[in-house]
Amino acid sequence: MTSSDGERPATLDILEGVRVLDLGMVWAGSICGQVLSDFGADVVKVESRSNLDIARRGRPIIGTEYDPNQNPLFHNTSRNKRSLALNLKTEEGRDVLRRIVPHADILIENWRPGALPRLGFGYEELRKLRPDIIMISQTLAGQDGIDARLRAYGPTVGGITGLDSLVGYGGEAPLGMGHAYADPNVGLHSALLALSALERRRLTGEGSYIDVSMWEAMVAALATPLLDCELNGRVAGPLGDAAVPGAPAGVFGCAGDDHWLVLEVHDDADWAGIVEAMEHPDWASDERFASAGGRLAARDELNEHVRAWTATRDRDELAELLQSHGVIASPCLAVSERLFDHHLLAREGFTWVENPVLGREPVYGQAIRLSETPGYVREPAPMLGQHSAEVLRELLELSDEEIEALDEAGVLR
Amino acid sequence: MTEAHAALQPTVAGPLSHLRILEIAEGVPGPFAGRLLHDLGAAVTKVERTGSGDSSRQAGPFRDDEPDPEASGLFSYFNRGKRSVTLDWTRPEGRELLERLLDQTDVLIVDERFGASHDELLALCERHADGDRPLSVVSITPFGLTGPRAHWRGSPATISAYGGLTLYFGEEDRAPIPPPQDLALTQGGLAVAIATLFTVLGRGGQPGRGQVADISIVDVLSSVHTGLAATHWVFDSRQFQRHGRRSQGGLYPNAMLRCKDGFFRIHAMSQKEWRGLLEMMGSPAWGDDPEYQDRIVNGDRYADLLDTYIESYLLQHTKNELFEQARERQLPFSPVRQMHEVLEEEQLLHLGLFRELAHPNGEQFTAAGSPFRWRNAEDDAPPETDPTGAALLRAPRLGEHNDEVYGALIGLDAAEIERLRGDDVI
Repeated sequence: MTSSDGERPATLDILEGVRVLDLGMVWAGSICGQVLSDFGADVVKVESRSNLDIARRGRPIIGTEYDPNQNPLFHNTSRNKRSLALNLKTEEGRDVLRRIVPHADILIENWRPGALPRLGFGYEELRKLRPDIIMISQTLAGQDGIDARLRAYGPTVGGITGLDSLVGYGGEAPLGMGHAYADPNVGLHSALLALSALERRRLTGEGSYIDVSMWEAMVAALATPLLDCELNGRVAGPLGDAAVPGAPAGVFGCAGDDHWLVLEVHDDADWAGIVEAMEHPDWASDERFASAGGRLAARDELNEHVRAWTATRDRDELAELLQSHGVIASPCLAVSERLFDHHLLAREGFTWVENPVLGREPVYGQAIRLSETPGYVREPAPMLGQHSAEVLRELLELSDEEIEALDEAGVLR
Repeated sequence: MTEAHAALQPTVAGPLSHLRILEIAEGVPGPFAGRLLHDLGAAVTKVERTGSGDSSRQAGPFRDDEPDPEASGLFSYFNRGKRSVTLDWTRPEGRELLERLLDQTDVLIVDERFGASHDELLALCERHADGDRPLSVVSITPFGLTGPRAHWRGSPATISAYGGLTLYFGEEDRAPIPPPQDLALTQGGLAVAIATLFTVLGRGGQPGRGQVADISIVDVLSSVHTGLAATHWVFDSRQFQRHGRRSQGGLYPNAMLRCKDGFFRIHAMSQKEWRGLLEMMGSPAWGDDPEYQDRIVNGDRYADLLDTYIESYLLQHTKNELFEQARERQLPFSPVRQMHEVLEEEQLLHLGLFRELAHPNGEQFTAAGSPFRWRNAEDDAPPETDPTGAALLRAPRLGEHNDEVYGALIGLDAAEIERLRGDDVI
C-alpha cells in the first residue's frame, strides 16, 4: 500500500503509460490531472510565467511575498506532476507544443472558450496532430451563449448557482459558501469523463472531445432545494441548524475553544441511546418525548437540554460516547485536528513529501482507495519549469544546445 | 445467451455501453454514481429491498408535499434510466439470486446498508473472478470500511463536520453552520463513479482480477475539498475558518456583499481584477491610496473597511445591473441567485440543462440533465446538448424489471419468479 514517504509500492499503476498535458488553471483544472497522476499517469503541466496559473499566484504558504513555488493549492493539486514552462505567446513555444501533442493521450484545459483554438490548439487541430487524442475542455457554461465567455472562479459559481443563498443561520440573510465548492466538483466530473474516454478509446481506438461545464455541474449537484422549487415553487433560504434532521439534533457547543459537536436523534432507538448516554436525566422521562413526532414538536426544548449537557463536556469524548450508544454524532474538525486524527491517519488521509523550498510538508492523500492498484502521492509539486529540459529531451529528443537556445529565446519560461 | 444479452442492454448509447453495474445503495451517494455511469451509457440495475425499496422513495420532495413512493423528486432525479429489481439478500434464497446476478456484473456498488466488511467484499470478487466479467466492488460509506471510525454511523451533517467543511461556514463568534445536505453526498458519489472506471481500466482489457474500492465520504471531503489547508497550517498556523460572508484564501476582496436587491459576490484573484473592480465603481479616490494596493494586506488589515467602501457602491445598484457591469469588464463577479432564478437563467436555458423528466408514476417535471457535451472523434459535428439526448429516461418503479432481469438474464421461469414473489424474496 502507499507509503507515507511517497515511495513507490510494488503494484501496477492503472494509468501507467498514459500521458496527460495539463493546461488546467486554478483549482478546477488542476484536480482532474491530480486524480490521474495519483494513479500513475504522466501528467505534464504546461505552464508559463507569462500566463501564470492563478494557483501559483495566491497567498504563499509562508509570509506575505508572492512566490509561484509556494502556494498550498498548487502543492496539493499538482503533486506527482512534471512542470514544462512554455510560453505559448511565442511561435517557438507553440511549435514545441505542436510537437509534444503527438506524445499525449489526454489534454485538459480550462482556458476561456476560443482561447486555445486561437493559438492553434482547438480539438480539430489537436486531432490532426494526434488522431485519437482525448480533449477535456472545462468551461464555465459551454462554448456559446450570452454567458459562455463570462469569467468565473469557484466562489462566483457559488453565487450564480444559488448555492450561496442556501448557507446561513435559519431565518437570517444568507452568508454564502465561502468555499469554492464548484471547483473540486467539476474537477472530479472531469476525471470521470477523462477515464470514460480512455475506456472508450481502449475499445474503439477513437478519441473524444468533451466540454464539461462548472456552472451546470454545480446546479446538477444541488438536488433537493432545486427539485423542491421546481415541484412546489418553494424558494429555499438558509436553514442553519434546521438542516440537521431529527430531534434533538443540530450543532452543539462543547468545552474548549471553538469545539462543536453535531448530533442527530431520529428513531426511538437513537433516543434511548442518547438518554442512556446522558445517564437518564429527569426531564427525559417526559412522555411528550416518547415518540419521534413528539420529539420533533419539542425540538427547541430538547436542544436546550442537550446544549446544557454538552457545554461543559469534551467534544471528542461525547462523540465517542454517543456513537457507542448508536447515536449519530461527530466533532467539527479543523484541519490541524484532521492532520493528526487517528482515523484519518489509518486511512492515509495526508502524505508528507519533501518540498525543495519548504522541506517536509503534508499534502492530502488519495480518497479513492483501491485494494489492488492503489493511487498514491509520489512526488512533491514541481517548481515552475522544473522538468522543462527533461520533458523536451525525453519526448522530442532535443539536445542540450537546442534546449538552451529555446531557453535563451525566452520560450521556456 | 442471446436473450440474456438482450436483457440488460444499456438504456442510452455512450462510451460505457458495454458495462453492467449493479447498485445496492440508497439515498444520494451510490445512486448518484449509478446515475453518472448511466449518463455515460452503462446499464445500471438497482437492487432494492423487498417492500419499501430505496429510502429516497420516501424522502421527497413530493409535488404538493403528498408522499408517493413512485414520485419522489430525489429518487426520480438520482435514479433516472436505471432498472429496478427487488431482492431480500439477507435470506439464503435471495443471496443465491444475488450471486447469479453478480456473474453478469462488471461492478457492484454497495453502501453501508449492504453491511459487508472489506474482507467479505474481497471474497465476493474472488468468487466472481472468472468469466467475461470479473467482478469489482465499490463500497461507499460515511467513514470507510477500515480505521477506528469505520463502525461510526454517519449522516450528511456529521460527514461534513468530520471532513472539515462545517467549520468553514458561519460567523466567527457564532456556531458553525452545516452545509446543504446533498452536497457532501454528491462528492462521495463522484468518487464512486471514478473508482468504478479505475476498476474497469485496471483490468487492462484482459480477463483479470477485480478489486475492491473503499470510498469514505469523509476522506473525499477531507482531501479534495478541505485538505489543502493542512499545508498552510503546518508552516504558519493559519486555519481555514469561517469568516461570515468572506471566502477562504486570505486575499481581498473575496466576499459576498449586499447590493440594492440582494447580494453580489466579488472575487478578485488577481491584481488586475482588483483594479477592474475599482474602475467598475468609477475609480473612487480611496482606490488610489497606496495602503490598499496589496490584496494580502487588504485581507489581513482592511477587509472590514473595504467591505464598507465597496458596499456603498453596490447598494446603489441591483444585482443584475452589477452583473452587466462585471460582464462588460470581464470581471469574475456574480449575482447571488435564488432557486427560482436559477431555473430561469438564460445561459442554462440556452445550454438546455433543464429537461423534462417523468417520475416512475409517469407524471412530468423538470430537472437538470448532464453537465457535459461529448463528441466522439468519428462524429462530424459536436452534439448540441448532452449525450443522453432530448428525453431523459425516467427512474424505475419498485421491482419494475423483475421479470426481465430474473427471467431473461438469469433464466428463471415464470412459475419460479411467481414463487419467489410469493415468498417475499423478490
